[in-house]
Amino acid sequence: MFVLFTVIVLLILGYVVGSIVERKHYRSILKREKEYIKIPIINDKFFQKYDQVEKTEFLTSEIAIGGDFFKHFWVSLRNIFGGTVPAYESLLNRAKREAILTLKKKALIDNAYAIVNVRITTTEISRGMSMVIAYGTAVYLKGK
Amino acid sequence: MILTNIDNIPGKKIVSHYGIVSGSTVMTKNIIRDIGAKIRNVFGGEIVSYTQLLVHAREKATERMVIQAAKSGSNAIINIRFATSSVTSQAAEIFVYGTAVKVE
Repeated sequence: MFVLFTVIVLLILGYVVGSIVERKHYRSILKREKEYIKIPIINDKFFQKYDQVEKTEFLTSEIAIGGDFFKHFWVSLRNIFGGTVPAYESLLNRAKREAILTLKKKALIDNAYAIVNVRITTTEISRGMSMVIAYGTAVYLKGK
Repeated sequence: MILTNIDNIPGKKIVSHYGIVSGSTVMTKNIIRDIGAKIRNVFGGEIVSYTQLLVHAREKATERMVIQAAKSGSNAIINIRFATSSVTSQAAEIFVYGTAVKVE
């Protein structure tokens, strides 16, 4: 009885707090994405202005993110029937966008022209928690 | 030491290759951080203590790679890649590798 009660309380808490946290995070992501839109992210090695490049800098950013109790519960139910898991999709989506934004933020400290060859890698660290590493090369143009 | 993850260094010429260099760290969390993260995992959101741990692990792995490259006498590493995997449910590995070169 006590266990059932605890689980129900955690489910409600997880759902309420989790969705508030997620909505807040998405708002902040959208705001910063608009702010940092002037610096392009290229996931290709080729870059037209290599002859004008003054220096390059290797940048990395990392983030660890966790889901909430409701999500974990929902996913374990979802696992029975199969299919896509939107609850975790939004989690990983947030983590990746956050990692890219951190990368852009680091590049903007010295006013980089662009970040080329951006790669993203993800791994689960423990149940329901994931880490994302994003990395790329910031290029700085001469006379900018 | 110049690091890039593109296959050349703009404005510089690669004069010799020294082969692949790599560094890795396996990181695990201490119990107190574990409990904090477990609580965070109920409510959702970024797990800041793990992010800091990740930053530290990545720095350490890169440092090991740079030391290995410096020993061979190179002054730059190109084409750097990160690979990550979870070793057990409690530990994760960060592996970084690249090609050590000499540039002028």
